[in-house]
Amino acid sequence: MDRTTQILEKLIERTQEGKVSWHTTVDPDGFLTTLDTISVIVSSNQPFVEYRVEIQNQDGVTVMVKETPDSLPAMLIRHEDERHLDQLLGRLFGLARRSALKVDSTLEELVSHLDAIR
Amino acid sequence: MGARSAARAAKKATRETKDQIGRDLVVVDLERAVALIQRLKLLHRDARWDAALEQYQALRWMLSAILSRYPDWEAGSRTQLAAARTQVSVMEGLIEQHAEDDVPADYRTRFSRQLNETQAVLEEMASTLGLRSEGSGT
Repeated sequence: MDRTTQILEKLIERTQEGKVSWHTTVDPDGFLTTLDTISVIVSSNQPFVEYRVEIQNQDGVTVMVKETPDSLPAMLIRHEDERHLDQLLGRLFGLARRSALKVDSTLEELVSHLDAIR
Repeated sequence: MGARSAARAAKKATRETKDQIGRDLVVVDLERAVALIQRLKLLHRDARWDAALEQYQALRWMLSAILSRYPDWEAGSRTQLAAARTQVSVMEGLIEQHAEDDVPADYRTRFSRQLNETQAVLEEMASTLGLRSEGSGT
């Protein structure tokens, strides 16, 4: 398994476990987590890109960027490994968004408010 | 007091002085970063995006310098500062994307909110460190 796949899978796993939490950024389609002084930003809706992940090192320098194409022709010619990465990135974006916007706790709260209405 | 315990006490005093000087320097750096944020707010108000980009870069470097200069600073504060630095880089990226056709109003509002949040974080850190220095008896 290559390093990028490993990192994305671990980020997905830790986010699902609630051990990595994400935050909103000034970009409405961008979410951020910082581990020690290393930052990961996942974003969407950039030109020609469906999802993007960027890793910044301890000095704030971008050390890795992975992007998934947003056009069907570009997607179709991608190698199987790349398609797997695309899927992981899409999944991570969804989880980061849910974490940053507190989707699950908001929905739970809504249910309890609705239950309280008699 | 024996020679050994006197040496230990002297070593402890040296370490405490060094820590306190370190804290004072961080406070100065944090206050400089806050001043830069104030300047950025004015540049935003006047829509001087090119100048703002230069200041954003300076702010990002300043936050990086604080992090590398004080590696022993508590982990939580370092992470908070690194997150603030990343927010700065996200703002830089968005301004670069929009500078030519002017930055949309909703982004300007988001930038202002983020700058205020970052400023509050830095000011709180400076205040906490400053109080700690005062509490150390000097």
